[in-house]
Amino acid sequence: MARVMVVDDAAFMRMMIKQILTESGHEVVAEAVNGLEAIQKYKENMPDIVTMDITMPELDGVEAVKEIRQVHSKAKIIMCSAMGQQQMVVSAIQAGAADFIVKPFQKDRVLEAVHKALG
Amino acid sequence: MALSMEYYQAVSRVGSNVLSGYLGMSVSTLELREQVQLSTDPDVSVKIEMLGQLDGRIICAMNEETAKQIVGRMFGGMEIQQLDEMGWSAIMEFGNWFVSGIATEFSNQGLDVNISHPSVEQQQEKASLDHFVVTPLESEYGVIDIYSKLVIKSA
Repeated sequence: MARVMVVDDAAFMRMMIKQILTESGHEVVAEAVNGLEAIQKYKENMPDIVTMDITMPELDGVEAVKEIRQVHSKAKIIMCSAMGQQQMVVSAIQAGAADFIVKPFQKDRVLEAVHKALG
Repeated sequence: MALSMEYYQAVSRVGSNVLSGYLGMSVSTLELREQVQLSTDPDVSVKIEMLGQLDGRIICAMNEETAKQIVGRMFGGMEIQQLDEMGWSAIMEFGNWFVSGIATEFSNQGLDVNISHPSVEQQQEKASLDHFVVTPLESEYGVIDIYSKLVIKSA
């Protein structure tokens, strides 16, 4: 069972991802609505895994990944974004993301990514 | 530079993928039309700005009943009586999936494309007298009009 932080500016997506994770026995320990809040809440909660959207106000997900990984180099972050173009995926992975899931996604893809990131 | 017809075909393709591929709705594309401002009909419109080389905006417009059906599908088949805060979040996310898919298609054709955060309006957007190309997608729950006002900027 993993402790997960869910980051997405859309309440609907936070709800859906939380449902997928909790139904599979994981615990959602924090939610954030933008990259800035994600950085703060990561420090407060130190989750095992983060799911991170990209297009968000204040600070986007790729920048948030860079900031979090700068301080917490072992942070495991899975990008969940509707922007699936190759350069976006490459930017996210180069920033330090462990995986990239394109929305809309199926439940199994999320669980597969979490399982893989947990190693 | 104005977009060629293949770009509007991408709009249709992405719309079909999201609506039928993910939400399981039957969809067909009606004839494209040019329009100077939004129709008076839509109760719900999701607007997303296109950024980068593909410049402009895309608006997904539909009536409230169609929006409730889409949201119901997004919730796994629930019957939606009224759009509440979560419902509005869902319809904005639907717009996000749709326009992001379009951005990805154009990016795969070599354009540097990004999108803004979506915004949603419950009533008809105030007319800005923009010239749109409208791609109507007919579903079993009503028509979703995709208003596109897009130009390609130099790299």
